[in-house]
Amino acid sequence: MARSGGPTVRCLPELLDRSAAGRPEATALVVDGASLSYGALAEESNRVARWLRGAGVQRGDRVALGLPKSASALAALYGILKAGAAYVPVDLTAPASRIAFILRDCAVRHLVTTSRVLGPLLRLPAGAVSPLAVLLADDVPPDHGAVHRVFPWTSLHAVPSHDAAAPAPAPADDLAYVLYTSGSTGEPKGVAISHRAALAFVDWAVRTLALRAEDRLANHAPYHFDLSVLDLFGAAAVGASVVAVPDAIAPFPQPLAALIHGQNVSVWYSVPSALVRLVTAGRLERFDFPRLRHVLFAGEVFPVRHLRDLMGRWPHAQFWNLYGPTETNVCTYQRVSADDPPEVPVPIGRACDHAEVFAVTETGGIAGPGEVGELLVGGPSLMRGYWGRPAASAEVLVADPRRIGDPHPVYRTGDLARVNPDGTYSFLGRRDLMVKSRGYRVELGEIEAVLHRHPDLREAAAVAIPDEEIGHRLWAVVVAREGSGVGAQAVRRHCAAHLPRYMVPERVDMRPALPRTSNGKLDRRALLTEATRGIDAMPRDGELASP
Amino acid sequence: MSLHDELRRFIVSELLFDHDAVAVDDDTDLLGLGLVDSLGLARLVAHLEEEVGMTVAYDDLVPENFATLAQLLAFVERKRAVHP
Repeated sequence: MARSGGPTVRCLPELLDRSAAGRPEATALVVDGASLSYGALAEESNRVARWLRGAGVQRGDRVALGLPKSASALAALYGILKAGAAYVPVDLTAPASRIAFILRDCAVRHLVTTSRVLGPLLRLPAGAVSPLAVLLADDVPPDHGAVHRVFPWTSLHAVPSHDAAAPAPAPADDLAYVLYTSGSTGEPKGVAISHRAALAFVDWAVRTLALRAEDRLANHAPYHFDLSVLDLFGAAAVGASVVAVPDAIAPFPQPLAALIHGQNVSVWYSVPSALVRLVTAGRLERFDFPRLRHVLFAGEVFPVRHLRDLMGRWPHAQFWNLYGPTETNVCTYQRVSADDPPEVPVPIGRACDHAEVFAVTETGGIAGPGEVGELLVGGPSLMRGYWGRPAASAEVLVADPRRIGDPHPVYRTGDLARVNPDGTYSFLGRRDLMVKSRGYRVELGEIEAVLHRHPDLREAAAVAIPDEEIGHRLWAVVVAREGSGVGAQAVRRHCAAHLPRYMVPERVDMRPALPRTSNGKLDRRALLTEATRGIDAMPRDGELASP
Repeated sequence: MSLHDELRRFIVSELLFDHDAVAVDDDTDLLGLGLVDSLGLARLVAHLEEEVGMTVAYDDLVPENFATLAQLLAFVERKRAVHP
């Protein structure tokens, strides 16, 4: 595994501890103007680990992490891992009912968070959340009744900070994290990733990008988005610094550009839409970025026109298109060249050396050059499965069609790709109803399941309208029960109570009926055509204003 | 409806979807709650330009102008004073 120098690393926190032992004074994290050294991060994470074990955490447990990017959050993340548990990062802006579902789904008994996340959880009906031990980063415990045990961050002060005294480093096949992603059946599903899988990807990234201690890696993605794995653990692997992009800065192009400039960011990794906002509204000409050497993007298709503009602004940086679902992390990559044909979408490239990637045609053969097929991925970076969902896992972790009897499964991505003459792949679309919006995976079926739960709706469909800037925009088209009087805003309110913000339809159309095909199935093509006709009136991300 | 009430209505109805877990007052942290994320900011700017009738420049897109209802209102009134 980790071939990037030193003895073999078996688990993610060893990356931190090795860097802390080698250069304890080096900066591990810069956030909101303050910085945290590797030594201090290692010590604080040891305290968290000891505290968690004292509170009953055992090897293999899942511990939920609900903190904004901060020194406490990073210490908690590593502390959870050092305690032998897997971290389950929650979307801080998700409705409490969804966070509660995730806690129940993977049987979380310990939560590290703030009162802002905990408060709404405690106001849910009794039984929505099983008894928890909660470590609060902000020291303002809400009224938590007798069900939960809530402790302030200061309770860590009494805990020794020397090595976490774990029984043994977590074996490589223990889980490191569980990331929840949209599920087509109406509930999110937890992608369970082992230390071995995460390290296989991190090691590839370290070697391919030649990461080094002098690097400063921006952390733009929230922890529940797997782009953050490269930022955090890629940096720790080489003793480099993480520059956190606070959530309050991320939407604002110029402050973001100023942060990249002022913090001498050398490696940037985000969804393309964040970079599109930077190049269109960030006034990049006002800043210089001499240290920026890698710009990585993943999660959706980068509109070529904006990509070329950005490459023109940052001619000294290398641009990389990365591809891979959460279930495999990055499995293909493509270095973008200024000489590429300017009008052709950037291919997703060829397999990383930790992954085997191939495409299977509709007739079951392996796709050759010029052919189209579903992408399948094998290798050590694959997830173990969806937490607690053996059937759903077995649907996507299948026997390798190339090697009868091989015990190692391959992952069916559901993504369609064309094999190019040079052996690279080009992404074409999905086999099913999953779409990308702002880099997030959205199962239209999950939105529809939530809509169908509304007692006043008779029929409902979710429509994804392709959008150059953000991938897809989401609409709902619904039919109310006669006499119910339910309105569009009430339907959106219902969605907002059960779905993360990025999945709430921005518009709800009330209709007398949904279009049907001749055999009575929902006519999704007709819905999309109707919706696209109405889209021009809507505000667009990339056209915020004229300067 | 006053500008203050109109902006508050927009935030509650279009950014919060009337979800009642959060009460929006003048000092509610719109950024911390994730209401003004990239999607929320785009909607808010479109609303200011199309309904409130002002021009929002790239240089106006800074957290200080959008962090709370009070700051948003001050921003809008400042812009209107310069370009009535």
